[in-house]
Amino acid sequence: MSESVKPIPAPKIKNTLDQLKANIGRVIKGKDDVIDQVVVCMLAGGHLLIEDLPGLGKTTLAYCLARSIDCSFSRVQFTSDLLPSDVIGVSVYDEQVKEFVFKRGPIFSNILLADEINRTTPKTQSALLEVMDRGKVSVDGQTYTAAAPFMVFATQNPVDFEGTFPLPESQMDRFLIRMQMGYPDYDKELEILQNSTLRYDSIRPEPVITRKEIQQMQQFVSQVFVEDSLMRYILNIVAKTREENEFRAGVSTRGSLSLKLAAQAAALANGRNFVIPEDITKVILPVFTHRLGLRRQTSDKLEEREIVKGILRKIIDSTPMPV
Amino acid sequence: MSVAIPRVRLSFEELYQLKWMTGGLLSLVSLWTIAYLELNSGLLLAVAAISIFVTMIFPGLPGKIPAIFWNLATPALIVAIILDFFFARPDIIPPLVRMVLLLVMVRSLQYRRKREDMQLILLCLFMVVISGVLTLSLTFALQILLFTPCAMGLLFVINLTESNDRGSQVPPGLWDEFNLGHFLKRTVLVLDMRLLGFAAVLFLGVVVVSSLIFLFIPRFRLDQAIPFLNLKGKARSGFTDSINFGDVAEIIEDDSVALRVDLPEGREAPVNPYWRMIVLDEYFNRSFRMSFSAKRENRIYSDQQFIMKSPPGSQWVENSTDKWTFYLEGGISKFLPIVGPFQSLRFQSRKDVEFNELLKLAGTTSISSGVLFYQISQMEPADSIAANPIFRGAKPLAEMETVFLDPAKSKEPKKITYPQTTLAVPGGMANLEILTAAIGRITGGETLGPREFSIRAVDYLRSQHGYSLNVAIPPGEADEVVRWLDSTQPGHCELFAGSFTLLARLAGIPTRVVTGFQGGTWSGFENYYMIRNRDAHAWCEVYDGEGKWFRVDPTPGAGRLSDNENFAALQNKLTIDTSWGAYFDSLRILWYRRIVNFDKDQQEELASKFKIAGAETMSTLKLLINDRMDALKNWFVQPWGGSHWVRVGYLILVFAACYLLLRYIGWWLPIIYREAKFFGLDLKSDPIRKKAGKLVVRFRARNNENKPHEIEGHPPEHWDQIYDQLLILRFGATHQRPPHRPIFRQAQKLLKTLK
Repeated sequence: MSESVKPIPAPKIKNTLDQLKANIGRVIKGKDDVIDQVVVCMLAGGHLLIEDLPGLGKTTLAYCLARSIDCSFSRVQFTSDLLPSDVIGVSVYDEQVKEFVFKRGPIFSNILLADEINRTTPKTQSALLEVMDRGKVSVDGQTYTAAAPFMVFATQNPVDFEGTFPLPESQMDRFLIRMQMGYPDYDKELEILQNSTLRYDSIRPEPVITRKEIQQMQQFVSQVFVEDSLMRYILNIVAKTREENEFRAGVSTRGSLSLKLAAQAAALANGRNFVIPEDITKVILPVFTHRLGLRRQTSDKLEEREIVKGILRKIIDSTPMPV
Repeated sequence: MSVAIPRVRLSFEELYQLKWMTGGLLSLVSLWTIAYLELNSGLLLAVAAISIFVTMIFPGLPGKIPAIFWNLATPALIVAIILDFFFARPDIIPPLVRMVLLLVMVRSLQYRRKREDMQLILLCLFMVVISGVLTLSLTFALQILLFTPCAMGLLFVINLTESNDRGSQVPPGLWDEFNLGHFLKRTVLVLDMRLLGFAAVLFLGVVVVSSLIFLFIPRFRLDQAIPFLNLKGKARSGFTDSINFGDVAEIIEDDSVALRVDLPEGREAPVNPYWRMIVLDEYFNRSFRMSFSAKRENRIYSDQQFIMKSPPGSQWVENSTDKWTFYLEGGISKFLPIVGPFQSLRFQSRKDVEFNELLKLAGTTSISSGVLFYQISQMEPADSIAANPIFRGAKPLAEMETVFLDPAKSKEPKKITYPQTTLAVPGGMANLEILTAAIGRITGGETLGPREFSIRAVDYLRSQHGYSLNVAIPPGEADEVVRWLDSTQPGHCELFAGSFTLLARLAGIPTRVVTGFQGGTWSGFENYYMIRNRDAHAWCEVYDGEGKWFRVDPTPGAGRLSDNENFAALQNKLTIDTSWGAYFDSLRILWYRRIVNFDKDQQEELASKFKIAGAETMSTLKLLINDRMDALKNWFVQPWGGSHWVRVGYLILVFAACYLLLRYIGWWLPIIYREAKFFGLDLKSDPIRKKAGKLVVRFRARNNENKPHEIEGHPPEHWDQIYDQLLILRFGATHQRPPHRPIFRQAQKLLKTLK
C-alpha cells in the first residue's frame, strides 16, 4: 500500500512563512517570538488568546497578519451590552424578496479581533466560541459556514477584573494558544516612537501570501510526521500535569491533540516535515498554560500564569526527552 | 515526660567526615576477614591496616600527599599486580586477593567521591565473600555481621551527601580544623532513638538474610566447583615427609585444635589412640625422611570413595554404619590421620588421593587450606601394621643386616632402598662407639628378639633421660641424636624415637619413625575427639620378624609397650574436656556436622558421565568428519565422468537458490517492516532510529557547549547538514528516509575529528 499524499514542500513553506514573519516584523518590532507563535497558531488553524495590558499592539498584530495574508479583518469591541447578533449577524425582513435575509456580522471575516472578550456576557461569548469550535454559524435554522481561513484573536486584560465575565475553563480550552505581548525593548520602542502613528488603519503592510496558499499550508500541517516516541513524550507530559497536585485538573485530551497540532505546525514553520522534540517544548507553554488552573488562590491572573509556567517547566525538565 | 531537645543535624562537611570514617571502618573489617586466609601477605595486610587506621585518626594526612604520587601510583600498581599474577602462577586466588587488598588500600587512603565509595564497597564485599567461601570459618559469621552495618551505614551516608545540592564535590578545607573527639561527640548527638530504631530493624533484617547466606554458602562448595578457587595451604613442617629435629616439638607448643573426630555410634572412645600420619624410614644427617624408594610407591587415585582390600579377618560391609568422621583443619598436612586398617575412605566430593600401600598411608595430593572432611568406615585402632616382608624382589626383611651410611657423603642415602633404609645407621667411629656401648648396656650381651629388645631399650632410654621440650645437646663429633643419647639431657619425643630407632637398627632390628598425633581430649559437650596441635607426636614402628610392624613409643609418659595391659595401666585414661574452650569448639563441630554431606556424589557422577559422553561424541564426530573429508577428496581425485558434472551442476543450483532466497529476504525485510508499522504493529527497536538517536544526542551535547563551526577539512555548514539528516533519520517518517549509512559514517567522522 502506498500513500498517495503529496509530499510536503517544507522548505518552500518555510521560505514563505519567513517572508510573512518579516512582513509583520516590520510593523511589530522586536517581538519575533510572538510573531512566531502567531504564525504557528495560524498555520495550525487555531485561535489565539492574547492576554495582556491594553496598548501593547495586540490589535496591530492581528491587523498586520490579516493584511499580510490577504484576508479580511474585522474588530469587535466586546462590551457588557454586546449581543450575539452583533457578532454573528441578524436576519432582517426584506420587503422586496418578502422573506428574512441574513445580514452577516463581523464573524464572517477571516480574522476577527475580539477585543476584551471577558467584558461581554457569557451568552455572547458562547455564541462566538461555538463558531470558533465548529466553523459554522446557525441562525434561524440556517447554517452558514464561516470564512476560510478563520481565526479569532481574542484579547483579555489580566489585571482589570471589575465587571468582567471571566471565560470558563471549558471555553479557554478552545484557544490553541494563549500568549502575551509584553513591553517592547527600549530601543525598539524608540523606533516605534519615531516611525509609527497611533492608528492601525494607517499601517498598510502589503500581502505576501494569498488566502489560498494559507489554506494549502494548513492542510499540510496534519500530515507532518510525528514519531511514536514523540507522541509518548506528549502523553508523558500530559500525564504528569494530571498527577500534579498544584493543578485543579490536568490537561484534557483536546489539550494533548492541540499540543501535537501546534508542534506539527511549528515543525512545518521550521521547514521540516517531521516533528522533533524541540518543536514540542517550544510550543508547550503557550499551548498548555491557559488550560491549567491552580488549586490555590492567587492575587491576580498574572501571578497564576507565572506559577503555572514554573510548574510546567519543572514537568518538562523531569520528563526524559526521547532520543 | 519528654523534654524537647533541639535536633542536631550534621553539616555537609560533617557528613562527609562521617563517610570517610565509615569507609575506613569498612576497609578494616574486610582486611580482618582476609587475615584468615593463608596468603603469605601478612606484611602487606599489616601495612594496609595500619595506614588505614592512621588516616582514620588523622584524616588530614591524605590531603598532604602530592597529586603526582597518585598519578604515579596507578601505573605502578598495574605493574605490581601484573608481576604478582605472573610470579604466583598457577595460583590465582592469592594474587587476586592481594590485588583487591592493594586497591582497597589505595581507595581508603584517597579522598573519595561517590564513585570511589561504591568501588570501595564492592572491593570490600569481594574480600568478605572470598574469605567466607575459602575459610568456612565460624568467625565469618561475626565478620559479616560487622561488615553489613558498616556497608549499609556507608551507603546511607553517601545517600545523604548525594542528596545535598553540592553533590559529591569534596568540600575544600574539610579536614583543616578536624578534631576526632569533637566529631565523635557530634555523631553521638545526632543519633536519636528513631534513627537507631530504624537502623536496628534494618540490621535485624540483614542479620536474618546474612545468616541465611551464611548457612547456604558452605553448602555450595564453590572452591570445589571452580577449580582455580582451590587455595593451596602450607603444611606444618613437622608433618611433611621430611622433618628435622625439633619440627614436631615446635607444633607441640601450638594449642589450637588440629583434628576433630566423630566416632561411629555405639563405639567407645579409644583410650590414647595413635593417629598415624607419616612414616619416615630414612635417617640421614639429623633429618628423618620418607625415602625416595618408599615415596615411589605413592599411587594417586581420583574418586570420592576409596575401597580398600579387606584386612584379614574382617568382612567388607556395604553401607556400614561404623564410620569415623574426620574434620582435619586446613594447613596441617596433606597426610590423613588414621588409627588403623580400614575398609573405605570417603570424601565430600571427588578428590585426588595418594595411597602408599607399602607404608599404609593415605593423603591428599595437595594440602587443603580449609577444613578437610573425610569419612572412614570399619576402622579398627591397631598397635601393629601388616608388613610386606619381601619387597620388590629384595631379600626378606628379616634377613637384612644393618648398613652404615657415611655422614660426610651427601649421596649416601641414594644407595639403599626401602626396606633396607629401616636398617641404616649413621656410620663413623664416633657414632658407632656410643651406640654399641648403649646396646651393650641394654642387652647385657644377650641376643634379644624385637619385642624384648624394645622393652629393654625403652626402659634404658627412660632411665637415662627425662622429658622436656627444651633440649640442650652437648657438642661433639657424633651425630646429634647419638650425642643426646650419650648425654643425660632431657629430650622430646623426636629424640626418644630417633635414639630408639638408631639403637634398634644397630641391633639388627628394622625400625622406622612415625609421626602423627597421640591421644587427644574428649569433648564433654558434643562427644567427639579433639586433637590439638600439641598432641603432635613421634614414635617408632619395629618389625617383629614375622610380618608385622608393631608400635613402640619410647617417650616417657606413654605406655611401656604396645600391649593392651599397659594401655589400661595408663594414668590418663580419657581426658574429658568441659572447659569454655571446649564449649566453643563444640559449636564449631556442630557447624561442621552441618556442612558435611558425604552423599553429594550423584551430581558429580552425572557430571562426569556427561563429560565422558561429550568426549565420546566429539571423537565420533571427528571420525565422521574425517571420513567425509576423505570421501570428498577421493571424489575429486577420481577421473571426472558424466555423473560428476551432474552433481556439480546440482550443487551450483542449490547454492544459487540459497543466495537468491537470502537476497529475496533482504529485499523484502524493510518492506515487511514498513508495512507492519503501517498496520500499527509496533516494532519498537528500529535500529536506524536507535542509532540516529544516539548520534543526535552527541551532536546536541556539542551544540549546547559551543557550536563547532570550524572543523578541519569540512565546510562550516556541514555540521548542521549532518545534524538535520540525523534528525530526519531519528524522527522523520520511515518512507522519507535518506540512505542512512553514509550519514552515520559522516556523523561519526565529524564527531571523531572534533575529539
